[in-house]
Amino acid sequence: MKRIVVATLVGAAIASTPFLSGCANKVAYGDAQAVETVNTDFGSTDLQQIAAKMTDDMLAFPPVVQVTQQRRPVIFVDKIKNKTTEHIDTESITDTIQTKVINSGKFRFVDMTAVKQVQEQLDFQTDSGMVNPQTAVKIGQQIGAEYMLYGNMSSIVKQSGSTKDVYYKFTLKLLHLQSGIVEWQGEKEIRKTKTKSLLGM
Amino acid sequence: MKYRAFLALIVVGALTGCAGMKTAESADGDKVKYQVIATGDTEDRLDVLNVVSAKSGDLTKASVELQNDSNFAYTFEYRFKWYDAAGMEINPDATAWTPVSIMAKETKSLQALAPNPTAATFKLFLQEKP
Repeated sequence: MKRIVVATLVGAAIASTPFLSGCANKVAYGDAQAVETVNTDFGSTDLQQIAAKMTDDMLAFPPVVQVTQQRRPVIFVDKIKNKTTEHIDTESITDTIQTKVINSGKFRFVDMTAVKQVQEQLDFQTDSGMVNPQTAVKIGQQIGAEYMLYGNMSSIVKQSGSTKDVYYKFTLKLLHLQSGIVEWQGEKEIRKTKTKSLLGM
Repeated sequence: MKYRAFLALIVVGALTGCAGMKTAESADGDKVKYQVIATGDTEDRLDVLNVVSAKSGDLTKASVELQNDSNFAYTFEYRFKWYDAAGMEINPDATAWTPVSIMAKETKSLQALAPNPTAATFKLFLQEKP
């Protein structure tokens, strides 16, 4: 009796091996530009849509076109306030916007996140005695920013039964530092809805 | 005879390279060549009503007006791709597919700004929601 039980168990284990290996995870590369609808949380498609619309709107705005006609003004990017309940890397959104704006050739940027590293490098070049003074970078020659880019990200989440609706609103502003005037303001709204259907219909 | 037929084939081949490209004119008389490539359902459901281009400084702005021919709401995806005068794509992989919903018989304008002043032509790709 015991032998039969053991033999049955071993036989079942061997027979189920092909089925178990069929449950193995499969990894494949996907298209980074494809639309992602895994869930209603903030995703790659939302980031891409926001960056594209904000860049297009800002660069096409007539006063901005006028300012950038003869020269390339300098901008620095301040924080995007995340007023949603999700963890969203808002710096990632501004990084994409910055990439598109720099590539347009209309503006230049100063990077406030690299100030500490730049300071360390300048100190090293001037004070350490290891760098040829003739090749060292002169302190006090950096170009000051003229504009500040900042904004907000907010959301409204509503749930009723099996339906969940998430509305995102991203607002971006371009502020002229000298005058304090908001020269341009853009907005992007996104709505994502999750519904549960019976039998996948 | 064979030589003439061969020459004819080459000419046809060269012409078809430009086939499918239409011209959008801006108010200033600037002309921008474009192509709308619709795949799957989008070919039957969406009608291209109007294509307009305009200049924002030295950046080209394109606007393609589409209409949903059917009596049902429709969700599709679109993407603009820009090319320079030599036909080389500018910043490939920089533009993502954008989902958009259009109600029955509604018209919607899909707009995009060229990534930089070297853009000379654009293609608008339309695909059904996968």
